[in-house]
Amino acid sequence: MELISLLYGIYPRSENLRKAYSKWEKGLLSSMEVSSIINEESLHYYDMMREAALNYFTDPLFNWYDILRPLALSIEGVKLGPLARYKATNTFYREPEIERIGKLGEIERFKEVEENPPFPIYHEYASDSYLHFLPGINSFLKMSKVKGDVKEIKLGLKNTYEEIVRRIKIKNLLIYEPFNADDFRVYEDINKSTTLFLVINGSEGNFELGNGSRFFSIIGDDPYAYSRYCEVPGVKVVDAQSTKINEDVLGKVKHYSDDFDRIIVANTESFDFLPRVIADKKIFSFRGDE
Amino acid sequence: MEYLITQEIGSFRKPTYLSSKFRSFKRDEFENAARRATTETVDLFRKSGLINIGVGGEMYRWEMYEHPVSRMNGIKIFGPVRSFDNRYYNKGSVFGDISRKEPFHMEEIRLFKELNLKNIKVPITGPYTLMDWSFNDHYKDRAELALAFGKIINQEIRELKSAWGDETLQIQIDEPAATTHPEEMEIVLESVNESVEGVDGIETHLHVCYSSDYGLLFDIIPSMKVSVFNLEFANRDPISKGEERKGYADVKRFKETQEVTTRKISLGLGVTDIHRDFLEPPELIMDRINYALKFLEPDALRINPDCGLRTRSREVGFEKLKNMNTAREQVLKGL
Repeated sequence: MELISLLYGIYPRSENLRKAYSKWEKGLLSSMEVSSIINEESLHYYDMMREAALNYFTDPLFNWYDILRPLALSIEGVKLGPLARYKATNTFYREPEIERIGKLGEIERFKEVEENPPFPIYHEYASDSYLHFLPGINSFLKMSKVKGDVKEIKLGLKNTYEEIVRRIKIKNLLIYEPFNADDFRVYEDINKSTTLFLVINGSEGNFELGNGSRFFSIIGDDPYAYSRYCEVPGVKVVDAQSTKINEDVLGKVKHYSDDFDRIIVANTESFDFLPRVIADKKIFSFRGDE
Repeated sequence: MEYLITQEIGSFRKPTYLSSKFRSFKRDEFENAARRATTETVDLFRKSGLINIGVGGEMYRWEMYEHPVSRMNGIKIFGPVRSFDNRYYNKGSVFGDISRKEPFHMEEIRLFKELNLKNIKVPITGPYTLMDWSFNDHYKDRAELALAFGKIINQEIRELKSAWGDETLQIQIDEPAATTHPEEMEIVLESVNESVEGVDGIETHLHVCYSSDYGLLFDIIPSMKVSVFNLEFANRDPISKGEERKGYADVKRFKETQEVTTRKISLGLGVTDIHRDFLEPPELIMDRINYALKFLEPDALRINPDCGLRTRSREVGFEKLKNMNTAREQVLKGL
């Protein structure tokens, strides 16, 4: 069985970047200066991904203050609400308040935005291993206060995501649903134009896709649950809630070898839940063959 | 019997001479600065009319998690973990059996003894919150780790009480994480009870704030070895007078809990919001207190800010406390 490694989500910031943000928030660094530091830090992250020989990795999202913020700030009709607890963690995000889904603002180039470090929202890397990241539409709605018609808003978000894919010319896209999702058909059109990696929460649910629709990969807790809906099943095994470095990845997945030729092994959550020093070591534990 | 005792919850903004060098002071310099800041803050509290002065705003502590865990064996801090935006806290990793390396709060008790100050309340971070905010890379499960923290806190409380002497010592167990995992309320209960198990001569308070469901807490109160529950309400209440006091709906549920609890329990009513500079006028605070008095007897009601006032400037913190005490006096006249 071939193990394919994948790291997704916000990567913890270095001390250098944390200090830069602190200065930037106090007005001691300009947005242009902080943008240049984000670039440098992203390049360093890509070097580390190469060194750890990860097959796939998302953008480190160093300038995303939470997994919804840059999008919430870029869509007309969406405002930032109060801090809300992210699941049962000690981490918080600003709850979007959605009245409608209007026009998508500029996200591709340098731009100052309020209450988030400057854009662009992605710091891309020319590699087939690089994945763009978007939060799941189902989770976006669950994590927001929806003040308008839910169906209309969901359709609006779907159209917005398709516009992002078109504008940025996304080839490989990872969509992360941290909350239980009930609608996967919402990604069928995006799936036609991208290689889609879908990271989901849990292993049960009402998974329905149109005839013949398959994603490239679905990564959850139980690869059997969704394997017929994707080319390569995936499993979340590298624990983002533990500081132990040497995880027995091979031991955790070898029992799948009778049933799958290939399997994606991924992290259980964003590594942003870990101290940076641990994350930097843990990226070497994805490849169970080492 | 004093009615409507006013109290603070714990932290108060540190003076700059202390906060700017908090981590770089030499030991004796730190002791002098923390001592000066504590006495100045106690003076401020007194001027505001506050009855219970806590520990003078927690001038010996930088924050509530790192302070105790850095004084324990079996936990290592690898670095900061994000809380939100660009705000971080040092999250410890439990890698072995945990034990106390040194006391957490003895300096405060010694200072208050020396100054002969009464009416104090010592906040201690609770076992469930310490567990929830740590990586568990050693214990079998979360319950076992919470209980291990409970045993350490028990040891700390015993020593504080012993140093304090014969008079009753008020201890406040801070559990901001108490209701974040609804399925774990039994762990909250057992670990908090373990923290005070067999300790005589203390009055135990529990502080919980920003809960999405206080009902979870109310369900376990009858079995909890705690007398006073200091909760946050003002943050969720309208700021105009004459409203229905929507933010205080849970006071009625507390009353129902009181009725099914076989020992006396009191409520610490959060009447001032610590996340905004808006100074709640005494009339608004009176309105809030009077609303709570529809359900609770005045000897079972204490008055406090929602949470620690470290989030506000010292000036704003003082004004908020002053208005709180003015409101209390006005309400007392009408009783």
